[in-house]
Amino acid sequence: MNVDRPIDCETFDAHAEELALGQQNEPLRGRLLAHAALCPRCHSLIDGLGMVADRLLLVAPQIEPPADFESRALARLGAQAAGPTHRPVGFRWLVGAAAVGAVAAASLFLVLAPGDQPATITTAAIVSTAGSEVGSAQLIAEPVPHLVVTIAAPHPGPGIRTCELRRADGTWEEVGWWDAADIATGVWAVGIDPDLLDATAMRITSDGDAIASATFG
Amino acid sequence: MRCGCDLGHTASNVCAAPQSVGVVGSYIVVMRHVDRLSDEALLGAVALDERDAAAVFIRRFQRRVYGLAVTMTGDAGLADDLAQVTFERAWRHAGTYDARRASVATWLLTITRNLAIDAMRVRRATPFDPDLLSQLLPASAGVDPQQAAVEADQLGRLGAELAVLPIDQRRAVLLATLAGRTASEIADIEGIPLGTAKTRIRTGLRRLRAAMAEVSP
Ligand SMILES: [Zn+2]
Repeated sequence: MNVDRPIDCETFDAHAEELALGQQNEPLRGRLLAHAALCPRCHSLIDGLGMVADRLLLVAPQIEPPADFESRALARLGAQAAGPTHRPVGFRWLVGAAAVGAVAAASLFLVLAPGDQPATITTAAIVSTAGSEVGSAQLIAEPVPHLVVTIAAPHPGPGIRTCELRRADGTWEEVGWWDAADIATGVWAVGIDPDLLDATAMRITSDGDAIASATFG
Repeated sequence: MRCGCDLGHTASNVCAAPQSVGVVGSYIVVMRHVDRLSDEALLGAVALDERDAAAVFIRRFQRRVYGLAVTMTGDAGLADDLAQVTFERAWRHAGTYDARRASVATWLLTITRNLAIDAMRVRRATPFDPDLLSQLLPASAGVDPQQAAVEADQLGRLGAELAVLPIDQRRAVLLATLAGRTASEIADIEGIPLGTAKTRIRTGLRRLRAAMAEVSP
């Protein structure tokens, strides 16, 4: 293929299946993706085909691995955690003291009700006031209503971060806070009133100034 | 409620145990009943370097991951390696998981698939046993009910549509996705011209895509 010629929709179409199946090689793969990034039609095509190809993996038979599989895998993670090749700092999740003093007794890891149903989850991206995606927020109904906030990109500077949810009537309600000195990136969870599961938005302020928000639904 | 650490903290979703996993001097969300966490919450806990969560995570998904690796490579030893690396990658990249795009199981299996495709570029897999295809369609027995509910939800329309695809398209699609075979390999396996193999993959995948688009645009 002529590397100088830009990819058109017809060319993309001819290679879309291989791309979705993960079988496409560079440099063509990169050029196809570059086209899809700018072309809504091809973007939608590859999104849909990729989702199908990925989900079909669930059909694969489940096979019991060798008996020592789990212990070997754990040993491997342990060695990784101790070594210099640990996860990049951006994904080093320090965990929250946040909810000391916060509302209810629910936590992310209190998702423990006997015979629990699959949790109802509403997810929204957390976007900084500068417009970049910095994490995600999830409203989870089961087994107890709670909010899970995941911060992947830290907001610079110290301060107390306050987390609020907006009710359907437009009023804001504080659900908890944390100190940036304790959590820069991480997962923070807090129990909420059941009627806050219908929250339309979440915002995070730092010492009174809005720094990020998320819109549900 | 005691927090579950050795220091006896009470009534909070966090404790400040200085021996916290990997985060000395910081805080850790108390992990209780990790075996009852939703897949998403469990992956969050894995990202926190929580060893108990990693063990539960591996136990929950190892049969799927190993099963797909065996299906794709036809080689138990190679499959074991790929499955081990899958969990290592999942742990390293847990922070990049996006619940809006895929279920945890699907996300994890795409890691396995990509590893298998790379491995097979170097080391050709053993010939695919076409009889395996007939075993691929029915959902595996012995899956725990919560998991089965999630799967039914995830596969839903896709599974139903897959079942009614013409058999030659279904074989081509499953060979391409679950067995990682290229169109030319499928042409060899099925004894058909390359163009026919491509058409079957294309028609099958696009029909599944259309079926899924009806449900989740
Ligand atoms: Zn296009």
